[in-house]
Amino acid sequence: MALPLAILILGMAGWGWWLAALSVPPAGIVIAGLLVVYGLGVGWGSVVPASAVISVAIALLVAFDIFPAFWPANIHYKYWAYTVLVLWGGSVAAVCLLAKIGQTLRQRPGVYRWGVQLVLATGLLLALQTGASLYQNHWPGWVPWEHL
Amino acid sequence: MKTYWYKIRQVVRTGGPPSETPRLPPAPATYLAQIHPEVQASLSLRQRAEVERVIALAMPKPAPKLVDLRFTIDLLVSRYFIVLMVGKDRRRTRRDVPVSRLTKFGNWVMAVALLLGFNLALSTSVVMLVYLIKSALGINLLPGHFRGFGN
Repeated sequence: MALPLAILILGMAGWGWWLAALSVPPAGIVIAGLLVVYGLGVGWGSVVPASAVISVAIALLVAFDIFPAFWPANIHYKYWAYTVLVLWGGSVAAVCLLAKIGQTLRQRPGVYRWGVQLVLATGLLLALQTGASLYQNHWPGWVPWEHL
Repeated sequence: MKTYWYKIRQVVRTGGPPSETPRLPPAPATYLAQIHPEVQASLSLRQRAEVERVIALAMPKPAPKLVDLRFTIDLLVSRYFIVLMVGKDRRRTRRDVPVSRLTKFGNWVMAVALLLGFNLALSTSVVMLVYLIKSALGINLLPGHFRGFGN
């Protein structure tokens, strides 16, 4: 369980970073947080609704051609298409991982389950917040922040 | 006696004895074991074998399916399961389940709405995936890049 958890924490930080990069309004960030809690609490039953939410978010990104502020205007669109595909696949994978961990927890005794769910949800939401903070603090260094 | 009736209820509800392990398809012996111990003891070996044979005849035999997709959707207020099965129809007699006209109409409306919803969601995802793959491969079908609605 340690490796999936580590991947999930990294994934949540990635979500936070991209949510900040795409200047997602607070409602979108709240939805992302709720998805984390929902997936952990429900298990496999959350995969279809959560994937639908992810797909709608990606559809909005594509339909309204939303780019992060650092994305160069003169670069070919195909690189953005690659990025969106990776974001979509990665987000669906994160949702499945979240559901897998949630399902494992559902089979544990009540008090233990509630405790671990609470700790995990808090940790993952903190990872989300950390990812957003990293973007706001101009990380990573190779992004040409001074030209934005 | 209380335990005996509890076991009977479990078998009726789950098709097997109460257990923590995943449910397996019940065998004739599972049902035979639910006969009251006194009655069981009174059965001869031949009678027992015959009862077991008749139970096996009465039990439904699931046919192999070409598609057997099952998943659950948990909406917090309620948990739903969705099953999609495709297989050869081997039924010789008509399925006779008495339902009212209103129920039939309601079932049709819900089935059409669900199918349309799934179709729409799946089609949108497929179109978007194809569009992104096409764009990632650098294929530009229309002159001038589509910059999204409102741009």
